[in-house]
Amino acid sequence: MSNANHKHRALEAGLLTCLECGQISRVAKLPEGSSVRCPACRATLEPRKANMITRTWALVLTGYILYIPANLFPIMTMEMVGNSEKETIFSGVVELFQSGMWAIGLLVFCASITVPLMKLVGLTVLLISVQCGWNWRKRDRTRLYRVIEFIGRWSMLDVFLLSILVAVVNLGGVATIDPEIGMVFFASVVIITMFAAKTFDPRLIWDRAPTQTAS
Amino acid sequence: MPKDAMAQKRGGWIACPDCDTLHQCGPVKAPHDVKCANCGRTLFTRTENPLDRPLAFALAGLVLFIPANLYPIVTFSFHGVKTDNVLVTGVYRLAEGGFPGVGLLVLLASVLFPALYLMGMTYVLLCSRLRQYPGDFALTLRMTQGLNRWGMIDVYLLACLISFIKLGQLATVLPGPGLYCLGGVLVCTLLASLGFDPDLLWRRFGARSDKAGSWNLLKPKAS
Ligand SMILES: [Zn+2]
Ligand SMILES: [Zn+2]
Repeated sequence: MSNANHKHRALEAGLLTCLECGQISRVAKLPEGSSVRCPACRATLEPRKANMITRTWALVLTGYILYIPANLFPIMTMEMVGNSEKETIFSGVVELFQSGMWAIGLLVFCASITVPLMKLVGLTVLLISVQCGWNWRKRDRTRLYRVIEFIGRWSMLDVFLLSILVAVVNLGGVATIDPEIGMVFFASVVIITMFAAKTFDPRLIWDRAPTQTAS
Repeated sequence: MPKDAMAQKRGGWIACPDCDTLHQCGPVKAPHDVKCANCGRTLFTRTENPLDRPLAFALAGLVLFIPANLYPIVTFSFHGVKTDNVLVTGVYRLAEGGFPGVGLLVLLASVLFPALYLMGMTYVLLCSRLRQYPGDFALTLRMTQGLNRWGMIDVYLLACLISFIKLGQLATVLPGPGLYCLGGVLVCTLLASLGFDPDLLWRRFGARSDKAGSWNLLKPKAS
């Protein structure tokens, strides 16, 4: 085993890092169920985010379940001079494609359909890889985590779009757009996946390395 | 040289929040991105004028925030009937339509969080500039760091753009003055957050003031 590129890691050196302010502290010995606070900013110090695997799994599974009604149920009703039409997230994208707006359609498709699913699948892969202690592509997996954390907010696009549409197209019998139940599921998926990304602790990707190489 | 300027010059130890690798980094000359050698995460960005520049942009953003909320964002006319909306009209309509939760989410992400982000930034930068640290400084800085992702004016503006295209086929849609102000808020927020350096603020506050190798020993308390 070559130690040439072995780097020191805080926890292995007996140090706790505050994720809020970056203060590094040495803790005497941390028994189960006890807690310390960061001396600089008073945030709770944990070696790793508590129960991270269970909590992230719970959020990810909830996200998968809600993803189905979010795509099945209509998100809005459009009433235009007499005829009313229900629109789902997917039919909104199809409509943009049909009227020839490929770029915008693709953008909405990515933000509303691909991104939430990609986040869920990405987090699932990360969770499984951490639980199985995979030793490969740690750098890429950390990068995947950062992408997941970064793009999540753009899924709010459809929620904002609906809030603008229902506010502007409100002309009584002539033309009205009303929100529908699908939007509740969709908004929940967006928020739950954002929380799931926040709960996940990427340091666990790097944690099992020494024991794995030693065996 | 004042004490906090010393802390600024001396790099000290940093642990990467993504992979826990310890780095000892010396003095950094602005502008400079410091990245984790192990996983590539940006640990902090040292900028020029780290206090005044973000402060100026945050204040400008806060001023623009007022007209952005008061003036209509999108004006829609259809067969001679005209409607327009301000930022919170959508929130009101969503709540009225039976979805107060979604309305609240829109309110938080498009109005409250961006405003709190700018206010928090102004507050911590002013404190740090005056070297006065009230009891809630650390809490405010933590909140400001956390709100960065949750204020979504950029996403909101993209949604405005798409609504123009979507509604443009049905009727005449025009941007209102509120939209331009909101664009201004977005530019100010982006420029402010680009220059905002929480690492430096924590250092000036006194966090990470450890000398290499001798960290303060904490005694755990039973909870
Ligand atoms: Zn701290
Ligand atoms: Zn790293």
